[in-house]
Amino acid sequence: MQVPRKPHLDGVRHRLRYVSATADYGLFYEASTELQVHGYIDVDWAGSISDMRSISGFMFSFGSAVVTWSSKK
Amino acid sequence: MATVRAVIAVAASRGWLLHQMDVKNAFLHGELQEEVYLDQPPRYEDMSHPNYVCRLRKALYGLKQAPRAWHDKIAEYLVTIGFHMSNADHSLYVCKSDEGIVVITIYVDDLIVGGDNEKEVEHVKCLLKQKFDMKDLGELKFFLGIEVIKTPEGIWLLQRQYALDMLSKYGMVGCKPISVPLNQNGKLSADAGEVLEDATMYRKIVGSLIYMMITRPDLNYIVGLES
Repeated sequence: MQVPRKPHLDGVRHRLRYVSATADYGLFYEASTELQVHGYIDVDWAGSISDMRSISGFMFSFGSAVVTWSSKK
Repeated sequence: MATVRAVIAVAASRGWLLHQMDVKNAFLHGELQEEVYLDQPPRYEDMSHPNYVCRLRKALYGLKQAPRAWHDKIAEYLVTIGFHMSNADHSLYVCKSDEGIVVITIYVDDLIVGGDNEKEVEHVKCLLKQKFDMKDLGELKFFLGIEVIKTPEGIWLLQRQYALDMLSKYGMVGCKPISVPLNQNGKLSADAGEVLEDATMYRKIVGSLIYMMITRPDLNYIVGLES
């Protein structure tokens, strides 16, 4: 984004309110879960109405929690 | 950071111990491959040869090759004491022997040393302390602002303190918490609303949210909408 506008600032402030409700969220790697890799991917095939671009995402878990992930437009 | 998380995942499952060290003045350890000269430092000039310059043998902070020189230096040493550098990530080193396994991940000047044999882990830490000027921080508890909490059930990675500091930094301590990260008006467009006169605050918040993503995959999608 080149030119941030007021709605964008309002947007990130909204994210901060979410963070304040969820500050104790995190990743938990459980000792008893078997160490296996599981992967998930998804794309929304040009799901953005304004610019016809896609959002693609993936996540890979190792044991009980994810170790790498991505969500990108 | 994916490598760090993967090492933590293995440690949780296998019951490894995890220790932490940091290197003092890490970038001063690196050897320079290139010729770099500097003027004689003020007040340390050689009066009989005022036109001489100094040639650097080792790296200094601020040199663009300093991080690389430091990485090469510690990588070379770890290989001489029996570690293998991972092909997938050059900041991961593994040493397997009959006594057990020792794994090291390096994040600039912070090291995590993990393994299944306490004697071996202590031995490696001892070698590192002799070779470089290192501080032994004991059990891994706090790494780059991330809390590592070991319980009998597993290992937590949390950025709780970072989140609270971030909220106070941006004046959001008393804000009304919400459980859903998206606003109702939904999609942002590139040309609605007035342009921010000073976008610094906005950019700082986005930066903080991106750092927060180390332990928060749930923030990835919504931060992606903004930046």
